[in-house]
Amino acid sequence: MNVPIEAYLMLSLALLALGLVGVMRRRNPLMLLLSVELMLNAGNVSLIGFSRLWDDPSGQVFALVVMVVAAAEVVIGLGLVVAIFRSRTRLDVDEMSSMRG
Amino acid sequence: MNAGAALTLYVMAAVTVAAIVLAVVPLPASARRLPEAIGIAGIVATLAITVTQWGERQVAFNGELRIDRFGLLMTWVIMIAALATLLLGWGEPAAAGRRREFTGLVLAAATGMMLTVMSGDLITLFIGIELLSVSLYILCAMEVARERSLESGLKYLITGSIGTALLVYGFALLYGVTGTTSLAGIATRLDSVGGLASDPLLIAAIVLIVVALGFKASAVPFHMWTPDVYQGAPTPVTAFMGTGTKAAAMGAFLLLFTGATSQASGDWRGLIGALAVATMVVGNVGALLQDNVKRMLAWSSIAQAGYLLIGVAVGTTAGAEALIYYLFAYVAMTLAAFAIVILREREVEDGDQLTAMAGYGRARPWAGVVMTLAMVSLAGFPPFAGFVGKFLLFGSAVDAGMTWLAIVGAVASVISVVYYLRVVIVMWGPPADDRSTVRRLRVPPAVAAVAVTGAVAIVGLAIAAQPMLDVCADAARALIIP
Repeated sequence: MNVPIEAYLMLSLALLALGLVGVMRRRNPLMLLLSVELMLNAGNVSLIGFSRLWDDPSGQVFALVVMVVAAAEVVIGLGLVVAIFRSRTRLDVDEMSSMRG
Repeated sequence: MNAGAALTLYVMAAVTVAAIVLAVVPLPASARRLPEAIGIAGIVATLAITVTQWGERQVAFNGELRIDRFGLLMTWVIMIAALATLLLGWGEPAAAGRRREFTGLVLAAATGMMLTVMSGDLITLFIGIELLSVSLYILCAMEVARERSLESGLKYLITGSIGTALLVYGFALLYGVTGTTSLAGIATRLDSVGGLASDPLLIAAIVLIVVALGFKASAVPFHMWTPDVYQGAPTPVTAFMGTGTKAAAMGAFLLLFTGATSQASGDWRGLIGALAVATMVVGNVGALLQDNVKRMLAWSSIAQAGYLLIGVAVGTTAGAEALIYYLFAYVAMTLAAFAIVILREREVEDGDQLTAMAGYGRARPWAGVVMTLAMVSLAGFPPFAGFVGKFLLFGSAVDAGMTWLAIVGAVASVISVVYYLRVVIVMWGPPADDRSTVRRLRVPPAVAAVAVTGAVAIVGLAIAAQPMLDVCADAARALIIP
């Protein structure tokens, strides 16, 4: 089955738009990372579409490289979020006061 | 296939891995400095190899890597920045002193920068930019105990990865238009198919790539992250970001625009010119309001990116030549300034505040002289290297028929005099209170070496401008793909 290049481009543009909206509207760092991930995959979809259009493998190689990079970025992002979370939650028994009576 | 041409890459990769391994394995106290020593040796070896490789272009890995005069000269800028960073971080509590992985990460980032400027293919260029970005995200957040450092790392990561995502999309569209990821292939394809210029897909690709590289080079309006990240990161890392990353981003701009897509220059000259104007104006005005020297230098680095972008916007080899010369001058000025900030930071609490600098020139005259030279040259006073570089950049804009760029640049430089000279005046003025100059530490020799070398280079680059410019012209010519 031959998927036309327009279909690839439509899908990737939709993903890019979703990611951009997410990046601009969300304030949670995890959601921001997720939105960036969507944008990266939008790039991947069009890379693979163009790779089939030109019948040239380098687009697929590029997409594989992008996946590796995306994974590395998410790992560091999550590490930072955990580190910030740790530094913000102080251990203090006086603050453990939601139950009183 | 000529893998020997990629020798610099092998050396840098080897020392990076060695430094990271040594950061993980337990070392006796006597071998504490081993990662830094290995890193410095690797950088010196890389510099030596680039000298022997100076000449006609060689390719490695089927053209994925291009070793030509452009890549080699840009490697010099980058390696000088990396070497200075290792020296500035020497014994620094926030950097190599407590965290041994500092060295490995600086080396990894430097390798990525080198890969960027030597790349002959979109994929290699992307890997280079990402290697440098990912290493710098971690370096920014290095001081895990300090919340500002973590905040700086996360902010940089998020804005940086938005830039990355846009870069991937731009590259995908460029690949879609030309059917190849090779920079040389893109140039020939644009050359042979005359109707491709002004193709909507190509314009979209250009816009996305300009935006993405604008994020990396901190050009306005993609600069919002820069002041926060520069202020929050450990100061040696800030110095590295201000110099090495800027050089790599400008190298990518030159490779992609002046080099690969020069046939479509009508599509991007105005766009990059507008970016340069916005960056110069906003950067210089933003710097006026700062009371923190690190933050001021961050805004100044935005403004300087604006001047550098003129060299891309004109799209000529003369512009590229001026840009490369100015990069050398900019790196020398910035490193000298940061070295003095680091010196002060180790002496007093909040040493990066402008008030902490009060009277410092009187207490330590040599540091005052270095800082004065750096500030005066950054502001563009003759006869220093900063003036020569700006003069050439503005001149290339006039020659290319973009006089408006030169006019905005000149006006912006006049604004910049205010905040650069403010530092000089505060430094040579009376101390703010008797407490701030009392504590004097022995000057760390590595930091002093960076400061003095930077100051000497500011003068030396101006004196030896002609031979230096000949070298830069050779590098700029290598950009144009035969």
